[in-house]
Amino acid sequence: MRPAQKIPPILCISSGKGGVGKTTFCVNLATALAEKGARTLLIDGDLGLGNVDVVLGLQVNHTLRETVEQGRDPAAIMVEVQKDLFVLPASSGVPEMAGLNQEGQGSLTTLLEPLIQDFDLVLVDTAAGIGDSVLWFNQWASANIVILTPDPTSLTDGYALMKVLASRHLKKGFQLVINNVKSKQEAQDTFTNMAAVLGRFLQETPSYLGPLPKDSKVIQAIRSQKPFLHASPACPAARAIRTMAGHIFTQAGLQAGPDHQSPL
Amino acid sequence: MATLPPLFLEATLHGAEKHGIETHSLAGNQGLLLFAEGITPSEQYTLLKKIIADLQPADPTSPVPQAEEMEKTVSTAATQTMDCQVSVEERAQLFKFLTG
Repeated sequence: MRPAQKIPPILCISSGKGGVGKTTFCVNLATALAEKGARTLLIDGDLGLGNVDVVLGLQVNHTLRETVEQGRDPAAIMVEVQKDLFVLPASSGVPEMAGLNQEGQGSLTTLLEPLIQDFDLVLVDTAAGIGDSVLWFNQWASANIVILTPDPTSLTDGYALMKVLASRHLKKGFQLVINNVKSKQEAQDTFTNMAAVLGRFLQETPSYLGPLPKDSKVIQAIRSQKPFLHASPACPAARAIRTMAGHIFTQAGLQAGPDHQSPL
Repeated sequence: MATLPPLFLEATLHGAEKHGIETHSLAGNQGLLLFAEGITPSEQYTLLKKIIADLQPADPTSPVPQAEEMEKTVSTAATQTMDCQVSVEERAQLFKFLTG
């Protein structure tokens, strides 16, 4: 379904605060995009404390650490999870990777660029915080998705991240996901308020990618190390993720093939 | 960086390419960011001085900034880091809707 192309859309997913569901969102969004027929690469950008492989229940023997330290071709460490979904796993418990310097980050993205040209979409699940690797991956990306929850700490950290990206790195057009909400109204209120603050202080107009409802099926899926899209394909969170994937799919100008129908 | 005028950015990008600086690697047309992150501030300053020297307008009415003006901007951009501390007012606005 895909013609030859150069650098595909790179979606960087960050949150500022940890524990807001970033990796779970990334894994399930990537799964939904692959289901729609987009050849998708999910890069675990939490280079020193990677979790994408854990959430997916993968047993990985090679990680991006080998690419950084040995110059190993990232294609050799890439794992095919399912049709059209590939993962580049990160190491876990490697402070040197978490604190990768600018030269290392530049080398890594340079090594990744030939590989990503073989994909329709690239997702980067960054670390929490506003460390160098988070900022670097966000600079590299063509779109910046920020996940928030309606908690003061998440709002503060997410805003701080966007402030740094907008002020120092000239990033614009943040797409916001409001996670762990009790209702669509709560998500809408959270988005509206954040948009107002971004507009007032940063002259920034974010877009709303959508809400992710609080859903017990999500917790169950995480504990069984499966995407909730597979474990509970009809749960509210799965439906919300598919809606967001549909928006991204359309934004990227992709077209689903006849063999890619929604499972619902 | 955010204060650099578009004309200056454009001129600098052209100059950077002329001096062999890669500007195409970052998605989203953020070429100057790659340039600024890839070398030390002192190297940046030295190289930009060379670039500026090449940008002296032949026509004094040209909109290209004068070298002294550009050099001042470069010096400021290379040595200052924007303070992004979230203010008390910003926080208050962020939490405003939570308390009704």
